[in-house]
Parts: sequence; structure tokens; C-alpha cells
Amino acid sequence: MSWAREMATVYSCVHLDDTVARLEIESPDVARAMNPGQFVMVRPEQSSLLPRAMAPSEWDPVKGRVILYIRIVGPGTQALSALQHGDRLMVIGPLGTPVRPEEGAWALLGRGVGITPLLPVAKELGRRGHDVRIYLSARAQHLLLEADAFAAIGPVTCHVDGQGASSVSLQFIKDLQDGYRPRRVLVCGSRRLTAQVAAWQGVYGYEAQVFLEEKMACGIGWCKGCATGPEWHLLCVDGPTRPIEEGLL
Amino acid sequence: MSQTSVSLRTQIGQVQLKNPVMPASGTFDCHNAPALPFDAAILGAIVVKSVTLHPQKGNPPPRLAETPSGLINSIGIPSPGIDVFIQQILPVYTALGSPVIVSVAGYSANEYAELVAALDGLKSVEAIELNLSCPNIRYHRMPAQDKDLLQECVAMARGATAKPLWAKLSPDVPSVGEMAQAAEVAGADACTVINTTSAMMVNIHTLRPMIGATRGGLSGPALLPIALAAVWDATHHANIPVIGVGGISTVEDVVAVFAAGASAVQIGTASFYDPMAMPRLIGELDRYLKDKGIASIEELKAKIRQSQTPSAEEV
Repeated sequence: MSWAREMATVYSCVHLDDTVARLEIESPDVARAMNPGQFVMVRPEQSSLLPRAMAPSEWDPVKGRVILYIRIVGPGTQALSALQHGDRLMVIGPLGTPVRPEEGAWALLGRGVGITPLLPVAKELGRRGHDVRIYLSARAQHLLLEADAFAAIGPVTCHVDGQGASSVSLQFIKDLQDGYRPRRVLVCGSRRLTAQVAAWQGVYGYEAQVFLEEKMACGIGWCKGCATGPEWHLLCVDGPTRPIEEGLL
Repeated sequence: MSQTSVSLRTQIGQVQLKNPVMPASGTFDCHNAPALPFDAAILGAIVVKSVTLHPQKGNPPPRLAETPSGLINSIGIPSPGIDVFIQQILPVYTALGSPVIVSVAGYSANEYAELVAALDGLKSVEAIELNLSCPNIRYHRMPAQDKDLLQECVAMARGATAKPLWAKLSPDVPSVGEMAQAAEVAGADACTVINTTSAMMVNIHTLRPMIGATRGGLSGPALLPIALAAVWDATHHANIPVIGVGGISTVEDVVAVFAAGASAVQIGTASFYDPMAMPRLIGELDRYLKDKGIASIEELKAKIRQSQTPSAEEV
């Protein structure tokens, strides 16, 4: 597999609040080649900063569009969230190892912007007819991102901080105790969720993976910056999904 | 007057290159990375990531910290060891069609000699770059910061091979020129100037260093003026070719590094900002020479020498 580097055009950039933006870009080469679980590196054309790694929530190979949710945490993501219709940005992708949509029932657990990379995985699993349950968590209702799209694929459990006593991880555990037996679990966006899923793995025997983040300068295996796990695999090549225990290091 | 065709052919001692643009060691990979979308045969040479005598994993994460004008890394040379490198990795690079420069990093003069001896009989190795200046491995002393040790390492390596030896130097010394001269005296055929400079960033929220190993090496745009001074210093002290490296990202930077005295350039962090930086720079250098009516790299170097020779009025 090779990657493409293309100059994409911003179609829209919508701020959901001060901390999250939804960026839709025209990036046809990348949109044609993406697979669930992969990511892209993005950088505004005029930026003096290194590109940032983002896992798209959606892409359309026909229209050539890619959608990225950006959690605004520093100068790089601020610059990306400040882009406007018609602005240009460099996109490198698709990168990383796709999630293998293996047989069996899947549980997907995500929090905040970490919900969004799960959507392409959920769609692929749904397309293959796999049983999928989704557990979404956010600090506010409007950050239960793409909850409707998930609901079209399988049962969705949502939790917003401060609303009700049961978090999604507790609901997930309750479902396990009530007899739910997923064969595979994928987590993204929360160390607490990761720890909960890892803690019950031995009891319920599912295979568990986590979408990880690590600083990377290039995303293509050249800089060796994103070493992770006991063997220090490069996240950009051998990730971004890794065995769940690597999310606890 | 513009030139219709130009030659980018470049000579570094005995090494002939189709153009003067190559990756800096540790910033380009073809064996543990997805396939390239461009033909690596267009590169002047391929300098591989430094290889050590024995396998090592490199430094703990986090390994990177971005600065306002560059990147601090503390990768620490993850390496499979020279034997696995020769058997499994070198053939990948040899197949790409550009001259292969193998970078080696030792922990003693003896190790440099062993590394070089292991590569000596391999036709696929065009030259060997001695990484004497990595700021991220735990030397007792960094060879590039100790003239006696540098000379011992280069001399031991020289005794182990007839292949061209390039000595990669550190900016973190009082005089890069004196170290280049020392490398030349000990038998280096060329110098690569410069490696990253020692640097640190602090996370103001945790008040801890941002790099797992506390400090690392700064690369990127901040390094260009430091590299220019170092290349100038090296070429005014030593009579061996200098390969310029440090913060080069535009064709103007390439020409500036040539003007400082370099015979070729290595591109590092610019490839992280844009992975197509090297093919772009080769094309832009070709266009620059055409636009200026300069027929070749040799003619560019002659023009630089002419520009820097004081005129009769100035004398």
C-alpha cells in the first residue's frame, strides 16, 4: 500500500463549540483509497507547523470528500479549525493499518472526538452483517458525534457527563453481566474506557483493541517518533489500533 | 539567458551522484514504511538510518516535541544490528536504484571499525557515513565533540575500508571547522555538516520535559543559519567536500548551502513537513539553474567561487 500527498480544498469548517470543529475537505485521491481504521496527516497550506494525524469519520470516494472532527488542543489543531471554505491544506494518506472486520459480534466504545474514527469501522461491520453494539460518551449532548449514523447500524447506548448515574462503561459491563458476549471490542478516546474494557477482558474472553495517539512528525514511518507498546512498534505503520494493553502503558 | 538543459550531476570525492539531493540519515525509510508514491531512483543517493553493531530499541517515548521553528527528536537510533541490516534491510535499499550510503553509529572507535569492516566487501554500499554526532545515544563521550576520539574513530574506520567515508559532525562544538579538519587528517573523504543541536522543551502544564529522555536534537528551519555557518567553517578549514544538512526546505536554502561551500545537500525535517520535499527540490533546482542560465552544478559552484572572490577594487 502506498500513500498519496495531495493539496485538498476545504469545503466547510463548522465549529460545534470552542473545542471541537467539523472539517469537510475535497481530497479525492485520499477518499478513493481510505479504509476503516486508517488515518491521514493534515496541514494547512500556509502553516509553518508539522502535519497533524487525524482519523476521518467519513469519506465519499465518489464525491472525493473526507470529514474530520478536530479536537482543538494546540496551535496545530487551532490552525486547522480556523480554515474556511476554499482554503487549501496538504493531506497525506491513507496511512496506518486498517481494522480487520473479522467475523463475530463487535462492541465499539468511544468518547468525545474519539467517537468519530469508530464510525467507518461500524459501517464496514454493518455492511458485512456483523452484530454491532455502540457505546458513546461525551461531556455534552452536542458532542455525541454522529450518534444518529451509529444508530442506523446497531443499538447505541449514549451517556453525557452529569446525566444519570450509569456511564457507558458501566452499561457495557452490565450488558456483559446480563449475557452479552461480544467477540471483539474496539475503544477510542478514553483511557478510563480502555482500562475498563481491559479489566473485564479476562472474564469475558473478548479480543480488545484501542485506537491510540502518539506524537508523530511524518505519519509514514520515516521519523520513528511514534513508538508505542512493549516492542515500540511504530503507531503510524502498525497502528493506530493496537492491542488494548498498549493503551494502558 | 535561460538554459534549455542542465546537469545536476554531483561529485563528492570518488562518489558520483545524479543530483546533489539525498535524505538525511534517519528521515527516510523504505523497509518499515508504506510504499513510496515516487520513484526513489530520482534521489541523488539514499542515506539509510544509522545502524549500530548490536540491536537496540531506541529511546523511550515521547520521542518528539515540536518547537515554533522546528522539531526536537530523541529517537535514539532503533537498530536491528549490522548483521540483520546487511541480510534483510540493505537489499531493500539496493533495489531502489540510487547509490546507497550506509550510516553507522558506534559506541567506541573499535565499534566503528567493526561496522565499517562488515560493510567493506559489499558492492551495494557506495559510501559509509560515520554518525559521530547523534545527541540521543549514551556515549561516554560524543566523538564529534572530542577531537582525539573523533580522529581515533575515523582512523580506525579508515583502516577497515577503502570505501569513501563521510564524517557527520555536530554543531555543538566551539569550531566545526577544526573538527572537519581533524576528520580530514584522520582519513575522512567528506564531512556531513551538521547533525541536530542539543535542545529541550518543557510542558508548561506538567512542568516536565516534553521528551522522554529529557532532551533531544533540534532540527528544522531553526537549524538552517547554524548549518550555513558550520558548512562555511568546515569548508574554510578542510579540503574535503562537505555535504550540507540542517533546515533546508526550499531551493533557495539549497543554493544558500552551496554558497556556504557545500557540494551536496541532505534533506531531513522538511520531508516531515512535506514527504514530497526531495522530489520537489530536485525539480526546483533543475528549474533554478535553467532560469539562471547555469548549465551544471559545477558551473554553479564556479559562479559561487567567482562571487566570493574579492574584486580588484575590493582588494
